Amino acid sequence: MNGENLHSGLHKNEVVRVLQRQQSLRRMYILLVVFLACFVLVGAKLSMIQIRDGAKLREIALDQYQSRETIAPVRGVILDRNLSILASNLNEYTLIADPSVIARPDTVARFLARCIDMPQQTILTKLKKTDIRYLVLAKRMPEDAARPFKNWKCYGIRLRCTPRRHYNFDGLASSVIGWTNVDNTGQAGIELGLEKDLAGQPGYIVYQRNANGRRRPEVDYPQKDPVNGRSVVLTIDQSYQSIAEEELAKGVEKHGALSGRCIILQPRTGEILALANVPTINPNTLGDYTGEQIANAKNRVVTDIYEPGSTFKIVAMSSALNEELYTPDDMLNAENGLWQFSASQKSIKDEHKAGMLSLRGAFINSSNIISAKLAEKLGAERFYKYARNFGFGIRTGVELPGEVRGDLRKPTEWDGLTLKYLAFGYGLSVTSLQIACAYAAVANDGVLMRPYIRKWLLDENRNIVDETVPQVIRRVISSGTAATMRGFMQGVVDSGTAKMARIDGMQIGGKTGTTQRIIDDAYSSSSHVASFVGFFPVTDPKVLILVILDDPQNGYYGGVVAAPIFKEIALRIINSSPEFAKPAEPLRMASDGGTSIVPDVRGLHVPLAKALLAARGFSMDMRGAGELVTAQTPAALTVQARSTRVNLAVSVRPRTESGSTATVPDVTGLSLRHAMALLKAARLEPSPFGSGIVREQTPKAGERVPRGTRCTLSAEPRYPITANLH
Amino acid sequence: MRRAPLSGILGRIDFLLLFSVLALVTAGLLSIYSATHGADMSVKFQKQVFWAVLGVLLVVLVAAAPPRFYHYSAYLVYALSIVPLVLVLFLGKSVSGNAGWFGIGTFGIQPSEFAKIATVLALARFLSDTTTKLDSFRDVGIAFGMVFVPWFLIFLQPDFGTGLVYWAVFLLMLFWAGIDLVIVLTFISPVIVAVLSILNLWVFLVVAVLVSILFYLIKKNLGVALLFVTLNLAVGFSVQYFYGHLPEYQKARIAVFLDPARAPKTAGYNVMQSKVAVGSGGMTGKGFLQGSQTQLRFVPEQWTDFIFCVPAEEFGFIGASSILLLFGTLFYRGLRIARLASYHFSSVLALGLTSTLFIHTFVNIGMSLGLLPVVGIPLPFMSYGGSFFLTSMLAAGLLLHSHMNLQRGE
Repeated sequence: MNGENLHSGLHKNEVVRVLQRQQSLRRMYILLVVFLACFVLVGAKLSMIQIRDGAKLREIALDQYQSRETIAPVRGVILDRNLSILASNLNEYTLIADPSVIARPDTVARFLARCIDMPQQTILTKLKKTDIRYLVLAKRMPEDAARPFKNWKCYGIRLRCTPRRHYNFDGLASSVIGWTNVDNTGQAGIELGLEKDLAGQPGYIVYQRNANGRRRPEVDYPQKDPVNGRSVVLTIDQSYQSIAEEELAKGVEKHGALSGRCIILQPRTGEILALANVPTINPNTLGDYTGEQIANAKNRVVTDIYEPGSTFKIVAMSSALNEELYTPDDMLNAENGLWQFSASQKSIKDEHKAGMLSLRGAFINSSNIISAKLAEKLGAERFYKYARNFGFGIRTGVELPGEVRGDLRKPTEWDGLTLKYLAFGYGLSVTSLQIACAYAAVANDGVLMRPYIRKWLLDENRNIVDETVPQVIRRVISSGTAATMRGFMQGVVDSGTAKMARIDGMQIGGKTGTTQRIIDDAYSSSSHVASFVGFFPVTDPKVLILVILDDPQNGYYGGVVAAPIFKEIALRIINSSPEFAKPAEPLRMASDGGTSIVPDVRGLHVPLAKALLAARGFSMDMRGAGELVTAQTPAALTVQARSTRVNLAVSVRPRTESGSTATVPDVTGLSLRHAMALLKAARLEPSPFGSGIVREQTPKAGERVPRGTRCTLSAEPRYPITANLH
Repeated sequence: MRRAPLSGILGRIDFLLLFSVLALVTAGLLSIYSATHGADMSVKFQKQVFWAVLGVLLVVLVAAAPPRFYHYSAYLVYALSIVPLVLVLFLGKSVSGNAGWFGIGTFGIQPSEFAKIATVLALARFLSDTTTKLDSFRDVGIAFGMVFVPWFLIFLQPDFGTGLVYWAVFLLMLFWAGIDLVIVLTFISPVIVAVLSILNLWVFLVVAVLVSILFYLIKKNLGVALLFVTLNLAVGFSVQYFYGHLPEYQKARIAVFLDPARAPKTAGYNVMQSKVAVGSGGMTGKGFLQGSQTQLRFVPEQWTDFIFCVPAEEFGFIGASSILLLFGTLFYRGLRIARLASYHFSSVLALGLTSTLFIHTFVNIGMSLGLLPVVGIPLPFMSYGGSFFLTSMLAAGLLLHSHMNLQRGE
């Protein structure tokens, strides 16, 4: 009723309006739904892009606007123990043009033609190809050639600097130092083995690039400086190394050998003083060699194995003595040079036929038969234990890449004859370094040292950041046994198989080795490995030298082929090192209780100078700032009370000389290595002749010459070599 | 008429709508500053600040007009807006291929933007007129003609994007005024079908059939439904046919227009860069003036059509969705006015204005996100450029005016 009343009470227009209202409400809902749907769509897409794909798109954005340029670190240099630089760095330059932006190609071409080896017309033609953006104009330019372009600001021409390794003494110690590839990454030797230390860490600079491709350094990411590589100071002595290489090369040539290798060790510490391989290559001209030549230039001292032969007899002999199975003078039956075993048809022969031999005689004459008998007496387990203790079948752990451990089988894998053959060095393989170390253990009173070649690691300011200290591996034999063995070895040189290694006036101990090489799985009767390992002086061994020749042609006995090479090397070392010479007056006073000789520390880095002074009991005061000692009082080589404070004048290396000239220091009377260090400190290029003490120098001291001038030093041994040494 | 007391005026202001507008204007100014600061473009920001001040004054002025002022002046405004559209064809200067500009000093004025409001006013007046019958062909034809004239003049400039807005708004207004849904569908469906038929033949067929069924269900008239289906299929196949006979490069152009991701280096470059900028903002953004893509000017013309990337990159999803929320508030308030206005003209006008702003917003942001093809239409209140900015402010002013006069009867 009410509704009807209401209805009838309404004007017709109003009814229409109410209907319209209802309808409009429905339409409003539809509109709301449409609007809302659009918003949901946009919101969903937005969250997809920003939240789901955010990380991915951020990376794309980064790629667009950031470019990261690495800054190569300076590779550490490699120095010998006297801080003579063996491997250094040069900069090479590539000249690059962007023809699309060069405004005046004709002017640019005219300038370029004067500086690079390319005709002006050719350059112009190239520069006019404006669709090219990257054009290499000159490659591998040295510093001098690149200099004109460094200060020449020409939009569209730029220099790219690439560091390249330079080996200061060409092929010297190349098998030790190794080499790097075009990316300056180590490929062989120390360069490879200590790559991590040498390489350093690259830095980077982040550029921002806008939509037009313009770059500017990114402010949010400051440049990260590269960490330059560390320098490596080797235990190698440059002069020993060159002596070893020269003499080994002579020997290899003389005997027409396939290859040769030589190790010089300091037995007390295990420091490797020289490591020579023949043939070798010059890493400065790596491109001139075939792949095979490069592969053959590896450091065979650690990578190659061979059967040691007689040199391995120290194991049987020293362990028999050490176990006190016999005394040196006990007589054993040497079977008249032919020991036939009943069980098999096998036999052992001796070159030197004898009936009864003492242990000493057996070692001196290198009796295979007695060696085998000693091994039998020891038994497999004990023999094996001693062989392992001498370091055979185990890597020495030297810092050289590619070291192998050789092959020494366990007694359980032996057959009835193995032990007898092992006793004189057949049926196993060793590396040259293992033999050297085993002998060094005898020289070092029976203690086996870990051989090492990395002496110091220096940071870029030449501070020592890591030092390798001599490391005892184990005592192999007693001190007494070692002394006895040294006596035996001296006998080998004085009256045994190595008489050709004798040097009058110097007690030398050693052992020869001659092995048949295995060719096509059989022992060859015509191809041998001849070796000699010796040390001197026998009473206090300072130097141990191992020489091995592969397949020598004129003669094959170790005593005939390798011993003479040893002798030549030893002679030159003795002649050039003050250590082995008769002490001079002031040196003798060094033993006085409260006094010491002031070492010459001029030209050395402060930490080194400090160490040297401290070793003699001196303390020091420094004047000036810097890292290099330029003068000292009291003077070098004077005798002073231990409490004396030595005054050192120090300065910063680059500022010691102003501009591009240097004053030639007076180096006469100094040892060659000191002289060279001083000249290098003064930015001069030493050019040494001879060895020992500098007698003459050109240019004269006090002259002002351009930096890098070559200074010739002629040196003579400090003390005249007495005739009786020869 | 009694003057309303001050408190009465305050009570009638739609503060939520006003707040949204002012917040969007501020966000727009900050974004333009970020996208143009530096060497040679900072003048753009200064100009926009000028427009913003002018725009706020305009809002106050427009909102404060007498209650029925726009109802009476609607046709006059419409007529006045057509004149510059004609003149600009002969006297206008060209900006990036579009000749619809009057140059006054360093400022450019686009009459086609203002004409949108004028057309909405005129349509609102016509559709709300009690004598107008929306089921008569004649009246719908007149309404169509009112839109067609400015659209055609703009089409001649040529400006495709702005023209599209006219038709979209026209449909929404017709719908709101109470026109039969079938007529709206008849307008829309061939367009949808045409686009779909280019993208994918099968999708087009399925959609065409579905729409036809829907159509039949609404009308329950088999004859009309069949006619409708035939029309759609005819449009779809003819578009297919013509598209198939286009030269390859034109096909490629159309394909890239519909899906910019196909050519990220050329035609789709803007969209690609825009997506990278938006996406790299992530959740919280890179910070004001810290957006790498914005600061390094990777997005071309960012201050105009791609302005949305700036807050999206520098303030991330939080910033971008805040802006969406502001727009949402604005549209909600606009629709609310349309529903509550007791005065029919105000209601249709509010709907038309809200639709205009909404279409711009949706298409612009959709384009920035790669959701829709690149149609060069700006974002209300935020994009750089005086004409459209003032047009948006005009629309805001009119909405506020409608709100103030919600309860004034006819």
